[in-house]
Amino acid sequence: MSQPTCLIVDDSRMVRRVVSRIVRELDFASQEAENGLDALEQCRMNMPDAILLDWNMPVMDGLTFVKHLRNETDGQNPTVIFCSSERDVHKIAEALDAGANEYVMKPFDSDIIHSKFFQAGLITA
Amino acid sequence: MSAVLSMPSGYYDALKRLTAEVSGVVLDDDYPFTIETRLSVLARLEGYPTLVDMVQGMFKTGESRLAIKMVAAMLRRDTHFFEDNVSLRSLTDFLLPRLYEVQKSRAIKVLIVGSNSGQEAYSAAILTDKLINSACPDLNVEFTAIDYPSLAMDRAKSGCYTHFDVQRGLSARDMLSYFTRVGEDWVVNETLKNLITFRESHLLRLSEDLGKYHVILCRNFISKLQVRSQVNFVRKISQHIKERGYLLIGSNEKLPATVHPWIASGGPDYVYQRSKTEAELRIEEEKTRNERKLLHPDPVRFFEERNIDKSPNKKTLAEALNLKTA
Repeated sequence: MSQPTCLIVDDSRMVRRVVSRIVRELDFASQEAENGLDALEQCRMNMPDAILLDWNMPVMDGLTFVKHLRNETDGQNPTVIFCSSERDVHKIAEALDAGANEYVMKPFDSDIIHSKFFQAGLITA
Repeated sequence: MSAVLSMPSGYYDALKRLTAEVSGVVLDDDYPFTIETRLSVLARLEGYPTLVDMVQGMFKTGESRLAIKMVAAMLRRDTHFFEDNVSLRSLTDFLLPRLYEVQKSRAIKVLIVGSNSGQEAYSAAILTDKLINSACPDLNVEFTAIDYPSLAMDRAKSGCYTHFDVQRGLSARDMLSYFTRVGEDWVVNETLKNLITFRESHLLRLSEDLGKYHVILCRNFISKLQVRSQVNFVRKISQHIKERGYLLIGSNEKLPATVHPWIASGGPDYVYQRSKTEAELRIEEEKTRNERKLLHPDPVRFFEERNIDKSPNKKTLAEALNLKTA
């Protein structure tokens, strides 16, 4: 079976680097995108198994990206987990209603990513 | 490690012994580190200048409530929502629907042993609330969650968790449905709080007035006890179960092989049902005792062979502090 892939979408290179390391520890191959549009183009070429997605980014934000993604061919397949410093309950609900599977509030640690991957069925233990 | 330890080494051994005597739990090999980190926080909160002052004070005055708090702090483990979900789900997938057929809207009483900082109890309450809303509208469940008095118990009662806590094991949807954001923290909604009574209790010496329950959740607790305490506990907990009630343990646990009233429930392996009455149990115990006497007719030799010290004058640390022991 081929290694599952996770696309990390965040405009901060440092966040992408930290999250990449966490998902590699979970045996995922990581890809990176610095905004929603970049992510959408990568998804059209190669749909990942999981997407960790920031909210506020230049060019295209996370919420717009997820709405577009869910209308793409095979766009329903990836598990989308928002990772955002946005903690307002209405915003979290909006993200879930727009098609995200899970939501992580920043700051987070590897345990939380592990827990969310487990809940989403991406990993088994 | 010795560089970070602030007390003479004998103090750590004494606290390890005290924990084993009171709770039946033997601390892991890194117990000096556990003691140092957990009890330093407690010492500060209890108003002692240093950890040594608190430990010396406790052994000098024999203040049992402080001793219990210290033991509870050493037993605390990091926990998260929906831990060992495989076993937890059998509460609402198997046990409550089965009991609901008989009880209907009458109260189903559930006891949770070792509630720690409350995540297990609130997870069970979330699953129950979903069952009420999906299939059993008049299901009436009353949870009682018990543990030693501790900071963890205080947190369980408050139902207040950090944003890190609510992201471990809890889905974002459940977080939004069952918690309210208060500043930086998340507080459990009244719907769940009203289902649970948190109660301070010695876990190996349960008080009579705890009452009897239809289900006892005792997950990932028994396996942490010393064998002797396991046997005693499994017998004692049966006094708090109603006729034909159920015991739910961790999905990787097994009950000790001894005389007890629990049999397979017909459900998952980690769900047991009470079958024998107290009278039947006493008869079986008497029979086993007689068989043992036949195997070991000389009691002195019996104890010597097992290297058991039965000197009547030997006083344990816990006895010296007037604490109830395992």
